[in-house]
Amino acid sequence: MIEIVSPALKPMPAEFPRLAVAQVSKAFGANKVLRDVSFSVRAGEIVSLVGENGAGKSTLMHICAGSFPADGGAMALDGAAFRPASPKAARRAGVALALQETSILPDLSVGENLFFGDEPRNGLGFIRQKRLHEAADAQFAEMGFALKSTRMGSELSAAERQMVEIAKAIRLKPRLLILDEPTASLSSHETELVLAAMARLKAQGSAVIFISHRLDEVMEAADRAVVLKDGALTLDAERGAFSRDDLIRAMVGRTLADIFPARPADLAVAPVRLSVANAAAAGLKPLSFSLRAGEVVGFAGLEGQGQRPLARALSGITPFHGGEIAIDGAPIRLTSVARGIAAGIASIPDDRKHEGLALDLPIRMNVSLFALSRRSSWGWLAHALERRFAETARQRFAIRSTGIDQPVRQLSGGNQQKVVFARWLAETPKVLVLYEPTKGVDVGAKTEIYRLIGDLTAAGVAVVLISADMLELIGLSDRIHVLFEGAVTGTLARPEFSEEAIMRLAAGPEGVLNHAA
Amino acid sequence: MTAATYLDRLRPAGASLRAMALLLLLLAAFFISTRGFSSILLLDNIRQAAPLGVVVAGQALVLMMGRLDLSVGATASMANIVLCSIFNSDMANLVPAVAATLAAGTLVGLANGIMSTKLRIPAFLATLASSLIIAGLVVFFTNGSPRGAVPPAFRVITEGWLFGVAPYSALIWLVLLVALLLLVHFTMLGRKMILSGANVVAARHSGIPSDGLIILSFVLCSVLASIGGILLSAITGMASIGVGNNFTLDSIAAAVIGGALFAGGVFLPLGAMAGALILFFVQSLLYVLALPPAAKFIVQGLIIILALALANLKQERSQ
Repeated sequence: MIEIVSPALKPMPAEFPRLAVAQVSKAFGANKVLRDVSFSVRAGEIVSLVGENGAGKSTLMHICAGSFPADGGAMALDGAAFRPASPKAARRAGVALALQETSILPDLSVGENLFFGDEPRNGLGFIRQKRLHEAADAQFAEMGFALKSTRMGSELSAAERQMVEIAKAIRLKPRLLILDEPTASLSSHETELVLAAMARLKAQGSAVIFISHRLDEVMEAADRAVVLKDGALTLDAERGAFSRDDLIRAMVGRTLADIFPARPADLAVAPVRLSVANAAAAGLKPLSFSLRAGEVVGFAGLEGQGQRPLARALSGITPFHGGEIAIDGAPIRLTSVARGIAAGIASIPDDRKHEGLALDLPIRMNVSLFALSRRSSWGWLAHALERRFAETARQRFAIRSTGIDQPVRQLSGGNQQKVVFARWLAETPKVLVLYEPTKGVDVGAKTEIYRLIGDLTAAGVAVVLISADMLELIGLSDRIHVLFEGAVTGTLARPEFSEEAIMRLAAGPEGVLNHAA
Repeated sequence: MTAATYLDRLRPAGASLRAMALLLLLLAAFFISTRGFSSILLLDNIRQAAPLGVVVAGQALVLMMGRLDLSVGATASMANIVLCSIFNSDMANLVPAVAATLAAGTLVGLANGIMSTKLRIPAFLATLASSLIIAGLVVFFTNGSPRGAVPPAFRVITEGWLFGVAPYSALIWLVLLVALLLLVHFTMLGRKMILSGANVVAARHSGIPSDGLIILSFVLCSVLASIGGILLSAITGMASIGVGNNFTLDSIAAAVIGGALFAGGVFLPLGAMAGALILFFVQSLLYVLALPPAAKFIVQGLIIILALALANLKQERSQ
């Protein structure tokens, strides 16, 4: 991104949009990814590009950023024909793309990453370290990011890497900044900062396009929303002219009310399924809560407030210290995953690729573990049973694939997640622990997963839902506990649910958000 | 289950078939240069390839678990020394000699497995260290001049032919391969090993005791390396230092030619067999063509490149 040395924000004749895209189409082989898409971004405008996974958002943005050419259609940048031959050419023209997968070099400092290839140098060509770090820190301060320029790239969390990536793109003050899911790995607070940085760039006359799966931030930040469905434009509306429901309908053809299963009004009579009393873990203060059969209890909080230790302890990966855990009134010792499984706990990890699936093995082998281990006699593998089970699971969970022998790696994120669910739900568990169950999953698959959760609770399964997705927490839970620094700072009942109420509790007793702001 | 689905399940993987095709090409070249097919010559080569083949099977198992065993050569060499010294040319010592050899192999495997799981030492370093220690111990206990030999009656396991048509060593190899095939692809234990080899974290989080399974794979690998050493001893007949050392790299090369992946999760007994035979027939072919031994290494290297390039080409097309 070094090529844009002079951002050149010349005032342009108002009649030309910053970027105009006209009837762009693109096909990969027989697969038509974009069909005659037209939209435009004005200078000083933030446009949010929304759509399910596979709707063609990334392809469209890659065409704008010069990664590959369109098959048909045309683009214009400030009224001049825009046909970038490469990402480099696009950057030189002032179009910067910040990707979801970050390119932070682990052995360089944050500042060196920020200025990579464009470092301030002295007469001998050596990098002026002090100046570099000062400039980097100044930029982070301006953006409100709590990052130190001298830290090493390898020390950064996924969220921090993403922030550096965004800072890199913003530093160049591009004419058009394209952000591909900039907030996917960020906490609400960090998301606010990214949105603020976008707003500043907008005030300086740049145009911003950002892809997002989070509809709240689209509602909050976008001057205009553009929705793609199956490669075609289904909505292009100014702020105020669209609602969250409009977005969802344009994305999937359904409304929000249909996405979450209806919650039963009163569960107070159901028996207690899971009770946790005074159990602590590394990163988690002594915690007590209980779930009735058929209940969904949500755990909310900013990133890293004890969600991970809680999920791991409940699934038996790292044990609780002390305390008492009981299922259906019978105390259990949750010292290993196997014991958890034996007691009727199923747990869906947040990182399906690393912790949930053997990506290179077929669907069949990924889904059948528990179904087989319960029913294999004398240790022999029941191959026929495996195929039958896998075929049933593929239909029950609507796993879109070429067949049960397809390697899981070739499936989309949503379908991979359904494979994880299928493995764990071979038999109906007593307690289901969900940790970010729909991370990186498109709205269509999300809807299916939510419906599944609804069906399970109707069958008496108690669900622990640990999630950073506010909509999901509010839509699914019967009760929400809010975590802050490893302790529950408050509990909300269904009538009290709102994003504001959750955020207030998530900020902790002192209100860290107010401090940081 | 119908016969058709049963057969379908037994259909070998693409990588195994590619290795078999490569082997057939090589056999064609071999028999063209020896001017005519001879089943005796073929079986005799298989007989001599059996020691390597048994070691490759073990290596393939460890590779399936996403690990690597650099100690199989040293273990096979050690097996030769232990076997010959206890046998001392007397068939009466059969049971203690074989039992002690297999026990020593088991110990090596246990050590390798524990180092690579409980002590979290990367497997290739742990097994490199154990191979050095084994080689050192062998020299220490033998003072560098090992004594002993296997009795002639024992050599029947590699020199004898069942009914005069099938070499015993080839049968032993086949039985071991089938046993491993059954273990890995037809039992729950094997399924858990595959899952654990393909993604150890995911396996642990699904309650699979991965550490134990990894240790088991190392033990089986070392025991198979010891059996390879026993077969080799039956061929050479006497104790000598480092007879099996070539097995380390040859076994990795053969397993990889046979479709094994360093990433784990793949176990192809047919491929492992083809890989071992390919390496052996390359040697025989070069011998027939009277090429210098150095050519063996070059050809071996080229075959590995060819096998992997074919596999990658196939993958790209499917994506």
